[in-house]
Amino acid sequence: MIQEYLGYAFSFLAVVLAISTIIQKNPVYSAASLIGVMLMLACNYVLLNAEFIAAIQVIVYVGAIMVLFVFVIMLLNIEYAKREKLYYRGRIFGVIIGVALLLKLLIVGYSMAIKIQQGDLPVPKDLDSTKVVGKYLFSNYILPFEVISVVLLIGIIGAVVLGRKERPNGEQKEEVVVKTIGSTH
Amino acid sequence: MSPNAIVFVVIKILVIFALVMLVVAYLTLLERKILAHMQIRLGPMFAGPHGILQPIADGIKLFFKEDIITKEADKLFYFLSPALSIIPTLMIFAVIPFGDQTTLWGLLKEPVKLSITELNIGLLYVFAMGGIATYGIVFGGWAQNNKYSLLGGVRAAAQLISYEVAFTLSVFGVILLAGSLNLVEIVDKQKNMWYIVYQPVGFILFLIASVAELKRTPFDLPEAESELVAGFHADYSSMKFAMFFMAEYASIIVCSCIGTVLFLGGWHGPSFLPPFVWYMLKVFVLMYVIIWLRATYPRLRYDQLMKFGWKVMIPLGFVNIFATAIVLILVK
Repeated sequence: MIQEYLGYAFSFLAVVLAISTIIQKNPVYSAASLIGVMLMLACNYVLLNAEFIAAIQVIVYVGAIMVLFVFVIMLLNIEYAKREKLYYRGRIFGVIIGVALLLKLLIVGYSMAIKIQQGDLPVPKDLDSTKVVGKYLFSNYILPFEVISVVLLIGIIGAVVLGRKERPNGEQKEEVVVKTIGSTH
Repeated sequence: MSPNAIVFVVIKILVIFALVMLVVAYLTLLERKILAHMQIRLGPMFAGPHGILQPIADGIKLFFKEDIITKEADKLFYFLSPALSIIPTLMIFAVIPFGDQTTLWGLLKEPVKLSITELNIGLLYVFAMGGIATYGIVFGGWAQNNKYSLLGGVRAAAQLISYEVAFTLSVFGVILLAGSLNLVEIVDKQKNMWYIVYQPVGFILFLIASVAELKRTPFDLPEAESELVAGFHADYSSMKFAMFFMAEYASIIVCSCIGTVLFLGGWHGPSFLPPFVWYMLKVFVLMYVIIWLRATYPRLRYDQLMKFGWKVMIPLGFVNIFATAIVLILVK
C-alpha cells in the first residue's frame, strides 16, 4: 500500500521537475531539474522491483550523461536570453506535437496497467533482478541487444566523423579545449 | 518491519555515522602528521599532547567562523552544493559491510550483521551514489560565480567522468570472479584467497582511479592551490567549507572500505586477530597509501591527466576484463 503512495509521490515530483526543466530560464537549473527527473524515475524503478535498472539509470544518466550536459553548459556559459527566442519560435508546431504526445500518453496510460509485482516474464525465486536481466538479455533478447550495440557504435563513429568534418585539423581543437580548462589565463 | 527492527537499524545508522565522523576528524590529523613526518617536520603539536586535540580545535574554529556568501553567487546552489557533496557520500556507508555477524560477545541473543543493509546491487549502489556526489563539486564551482571556482568545477566534471569509467572497469574483474554484486557475498568468496592475488592489475587500476575520483594529489587539479586559489571551494567558508572537506575525507574512507571489501578479503585474515580488527587494519593501510601518494607525487598537467585516463587506464581496464573472462572460461 505504502509503495503505491510513494509511487504517486515520485511520479508527481518527476512531472513537476520535468515541467521545471522546460520552463527554467537558467540552463543550469534546467539541467538540475532533469537530474531530479532521472532520480525520481530511478526511485520508481526500485518500487517496481527493478533494482538493477534503477542503479543503471542513476549511474548512466545522472552519473555520466548529465555531468556531460552540465559540463558543456558551464564551458560554453550559455546566456539566458538566447533560450527565450528559441522557446517562442515555431510555437504552433510545438503545441500540436505536444498535444499529440500528451493524448498518446493518456491513451496508453489509461488502457495499459503497469504490472507492479510481476511483469510478463517469469522471474525465478532464487534469482535477483541483475541475474534475471542478464539471463534474458543474453538468451531471449540477444538479437535486439546486439543490434542496439551496433546502433550505439554507429552513433559513436558518426559523432567522431561529424566532429572531424567541421574542422579538418581536429587534433588541435581538442588540445584547445584541454588547454582552456587546464590554464587560468 | 517490526518496531524492534527499526530501532535496531536506527542504532546501527547512528553508530556508523558517529564512527565515520570521528574517523573523518582524526583522518585530517593523521594526514597532517604523516605528511609532516615524511617531510621531516612535526606537524600540529600544541593542541593537546602531540596535537591530539587539533581536529576538535579545527572543528570549533570552523563552527564559529563567519559564513560568507558573495553577492554574485547563485544562492540556491551555493547552499545546496555542500550537502549534495556529503550526503551521497555518507549514504554509501549504508551498504558497506564492516564485518561478519556478531553477537557483541554474547550480549545479544541473535547475531547481528555488521552492515546497515545488504543490497543485491550493493556495488552498483556505491557507483550510483558516487555519481550523484559529483554534482556537489560541479554545481558548487558554478554557483560561486567566479572564474577560478568555475574552472575548478569544470575540471572536476571532466576528470570525474573520465576516471569514473576506469574506476568502474577496474572492479569488473572482481565481479566476474565473485559472480555477485552483493558486497557481503564478494567478501565471503575471498575466504581462502584475496582477490588482489587474482586481480593485481585491477587493484592498481582501482587505486589510481580512486585517487583520481577523490581529487587528491597527483590528480588534484580541481582545487590546485597554486593556480586556481582553492578551485571549486574558493569562496566557501565556515561549515559549508567544512562539509566539502568532510565529504572528501569520508570519500577516502569509502574508497578504502571498498578496496578492502573487493580486493583485500574484507574481514578475513589469520585468526590471531578478530575480524573487525583485520578490517580496520586493511582500511587504514589503504588510507595510509592514499596519504602517502600525496607526499610523493607532484601534480599532473591537465592534458597528461586526460591522456593517462583515456589512453592508459581505460584500455588497460578492458584488457583486464577480457583476460579475466577468458581465464575464467578456460578454468571452468
